[in-house]
Amino acid sequence: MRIPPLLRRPRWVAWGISLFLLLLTACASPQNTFGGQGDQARTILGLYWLLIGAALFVGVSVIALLLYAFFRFRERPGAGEPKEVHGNTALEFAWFLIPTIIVLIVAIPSWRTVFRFGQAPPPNALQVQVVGHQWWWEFRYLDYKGADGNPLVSGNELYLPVGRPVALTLRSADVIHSFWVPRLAGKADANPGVTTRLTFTPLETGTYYGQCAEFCGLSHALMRFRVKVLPAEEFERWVQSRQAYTLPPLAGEAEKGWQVFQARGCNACHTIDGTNARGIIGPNLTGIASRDGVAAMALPNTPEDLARWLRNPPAVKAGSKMPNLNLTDEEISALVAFLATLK
Amino acid sequence: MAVSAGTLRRPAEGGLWSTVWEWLTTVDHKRIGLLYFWTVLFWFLLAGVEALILRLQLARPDAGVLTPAVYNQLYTMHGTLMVFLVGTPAASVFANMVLPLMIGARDVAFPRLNALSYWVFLFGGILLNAGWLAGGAFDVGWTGYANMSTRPFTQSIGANFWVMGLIVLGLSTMASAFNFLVTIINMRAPGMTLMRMPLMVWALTVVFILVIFAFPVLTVALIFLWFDRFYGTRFFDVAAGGNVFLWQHLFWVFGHPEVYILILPAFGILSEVIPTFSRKPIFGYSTMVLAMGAIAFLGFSVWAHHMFTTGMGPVGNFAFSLSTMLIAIPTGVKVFNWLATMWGGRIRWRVPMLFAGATVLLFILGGLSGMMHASPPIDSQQQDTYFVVAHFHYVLFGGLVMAMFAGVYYWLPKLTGRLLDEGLGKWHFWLTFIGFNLTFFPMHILGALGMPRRIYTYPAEAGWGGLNLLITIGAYILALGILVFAYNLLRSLRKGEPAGSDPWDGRTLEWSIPSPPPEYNFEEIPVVHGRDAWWEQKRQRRVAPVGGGSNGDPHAPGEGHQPGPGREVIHLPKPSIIPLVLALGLAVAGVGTIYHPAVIALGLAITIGAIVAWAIEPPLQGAVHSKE
Repeated sequence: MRIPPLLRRPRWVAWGISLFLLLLTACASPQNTFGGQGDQARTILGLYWLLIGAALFVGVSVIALLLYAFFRFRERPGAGEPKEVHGNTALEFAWFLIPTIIVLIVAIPSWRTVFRFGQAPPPNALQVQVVGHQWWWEFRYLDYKGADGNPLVSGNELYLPVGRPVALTLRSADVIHSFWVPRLAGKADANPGVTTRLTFTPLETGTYYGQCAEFCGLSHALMRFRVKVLPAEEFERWVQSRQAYTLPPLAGEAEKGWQVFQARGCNACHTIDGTNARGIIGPNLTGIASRDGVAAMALPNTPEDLARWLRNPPAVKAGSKMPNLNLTDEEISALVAFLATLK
Repeated sequence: MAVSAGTLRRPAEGGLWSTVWEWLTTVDHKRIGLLYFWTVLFWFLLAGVEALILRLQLARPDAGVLTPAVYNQLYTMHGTLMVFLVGTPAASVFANMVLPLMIGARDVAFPRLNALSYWVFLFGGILLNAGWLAGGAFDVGWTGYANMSTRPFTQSIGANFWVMGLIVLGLSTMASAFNFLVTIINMRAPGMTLMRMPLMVWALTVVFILVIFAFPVLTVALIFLWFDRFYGTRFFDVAAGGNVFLWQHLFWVFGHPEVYILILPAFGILSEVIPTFSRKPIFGYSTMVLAMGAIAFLGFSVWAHHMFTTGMGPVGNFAFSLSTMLIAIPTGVKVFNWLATMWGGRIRWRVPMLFAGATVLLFILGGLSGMMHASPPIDSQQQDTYFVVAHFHYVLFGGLVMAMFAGVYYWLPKLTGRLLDEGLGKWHFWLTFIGFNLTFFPMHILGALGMPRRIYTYPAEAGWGGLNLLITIGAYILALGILVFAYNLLRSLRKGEPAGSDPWDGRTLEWSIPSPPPEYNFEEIPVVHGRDAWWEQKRQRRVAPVGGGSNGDPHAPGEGHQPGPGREVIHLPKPSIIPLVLALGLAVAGVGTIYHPAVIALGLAITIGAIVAWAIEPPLQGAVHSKE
């Protein structure tokens, strides 16, 4: 076989290989749709391969025909006048039939899946209410009441037990958001004034990346969250620790931080379970020290980044409802020390 | 008054001002076509530059090139411009440039209305973009989802310009659609039955029908939004009982037919370019017409496939998935018919044909990715990700814009009288083709890796950095291709090889008259005996093209056009400044709705005055005599 001229040049081959490697490394992306660590994502993945297969088959064969025609029938010197063909009923009927068959092959399993996903959640499903806010997530565990009789709440991290179906009911406090954890399930919009449902079962423990998928304003890009799928016992332990949550014994910097927290009005917007901080404008801060990030994962959860956030929230996250309180350096380091105790 | 051929590049008799005046008052569809063409090109370049700036911000993780506010404005305006100021008027560009020529007509049915469409398009476009100058452009995406776009969540004045700009642009699009439909229905040459019309004319017919049904729905949605923003109505205010899905339903009832409004002109261009350069008639003419009709009809029943993730429930998702998948069938028929047209032909690899072939190829890819998210479960993983961005760029750039390039290389010489350079054209083609694929193919992968669209930044740990860098490089290669195109265009105006009347050995009537055509197009209205009317004439009667044809003397196309006694009398529409004044009045009123009622009154006064003047002004100028 004749080697195409492009492949005879080593430089181009090298480029091709590095491109391929680039694609491979890209697949390590933590938010990819090929994970299938939830039953819903896994079912979709099966469909995905079917459709990719069908698309590859159709694409390769039709494009091959196109390129063949383009090269084979290229004008050559001395070629005669082409025959005037105006159509052919049998052929035209055939290419009415071919797409019809291909459509049916991909459509029927798709539609079966649509109705399967639309079924009511099983009775043992964990009930969690998801509320989208500009630009953070609130998760309310309707099955578990806290000390005050209200459901347990977590901010920007959703905790789930592995293997148990979870029935999410989604809504929004302001504009339309979309809840999406690609490795666990497809996305579902969180709408203001209307409730939507999403039911799936996490199949493997681990931390899964999620992100708002519907443009929701200035800092839409920074409306990220994590889903932590825990072994059943560990999830139970988490629930119990949250139900009996009280402030840990505070001393020194941390104690000063708790004073600052109250004096500067942080409690007007934030809740810390088991304390008089009952604000609901911003995320519940109980357990913030064990989260992967702060400000809906806009920053990693390190003391430096937390300090950066407290110094001027809108500078980190444009349009953030948390204002710049002009905290002093001492106040900030005290707050950082205090928040670090909220495990 | 003597009118000679070549009015489009006739040296002005009274200097620059008189030339400008001629263009401002023109009611000649060919000149209006060129005005549309240059305006659309300008918006295309502007929207392209916006995309290039966006790509700088996205080239690496956590980049600080743009603030989120500017990023959101840029991506919104990029999409808005490309859809409403480039794609939507594509039909008007080509309809003005060639539709009357293809059906053997001397002009459109309502020449002054045609001029009005253009001027409203121009001023509406300026209004749409004026937010940039007034303190910030719209920033909610070209889809303008309410309640995000209502005043509590979007205070910017750019939103007002966006809404009012689109309302005004809708007038232009509707006027254009009615005008061309009336033209197509009433002004075809004798013998040109509907089923003998060139497929380009059919495609445009279907587009204009779609426009008439789809655009009013958008206008309704925009007026709801306007009232919510200004007068305290609560169409989208959920807390007050408004409905969060209302905008989405209205917008997509417009928005999906809009997709076919965008792509059908491309289908028309392909159906002319492919037969011409394959030297064969189109394969399966009737099924092509039928397929376009089916696409248009089904196009109105698929809108909620943009809403699979809103929680419509399984029955809704199933129904809209069904109608969406059905569209694959007529689309498949069209692709196969184009293939069969090439099959056994003698394909000349000229620039228009290269672009046409590439369009088919890229459109197949765009169609297949579209098939994927016709499946609601898969859509729930692809919706609002870069996979969708890849999909619609394959359809709208790979499909529409590439076909528009084919159409420009093919038809622009008819109006300017000069061919674009073939060598530069090939550079344009390859840079664009490679740059396009480098830009948009990796977006499929990014989407599959979970990158949502409309995000101004992403963290390094997301693993999207490498592909994004590649995409940015691709975008600049693509931009280089567009630069070559722009240079080729400008160069062709002065230095281009004279086109002659029939440079491609064409098949349809526009190639039977000189390039550029005389103001009245046809000296004698042709009589049509079948499809590919000009091809048949050439084959059967061996007529030489008027003006000497591609091998004749290109500098003498106008010879013999002097009027004389006893020759046919042609009535031409009179040039008029009133359409421009009327359009200006509408734009002023539009600005007034944003700033002050007094300005509305001023704008309406101008508008009404112009309407009255329009009614009084005699529509025709003195008769022109063609040769015997």
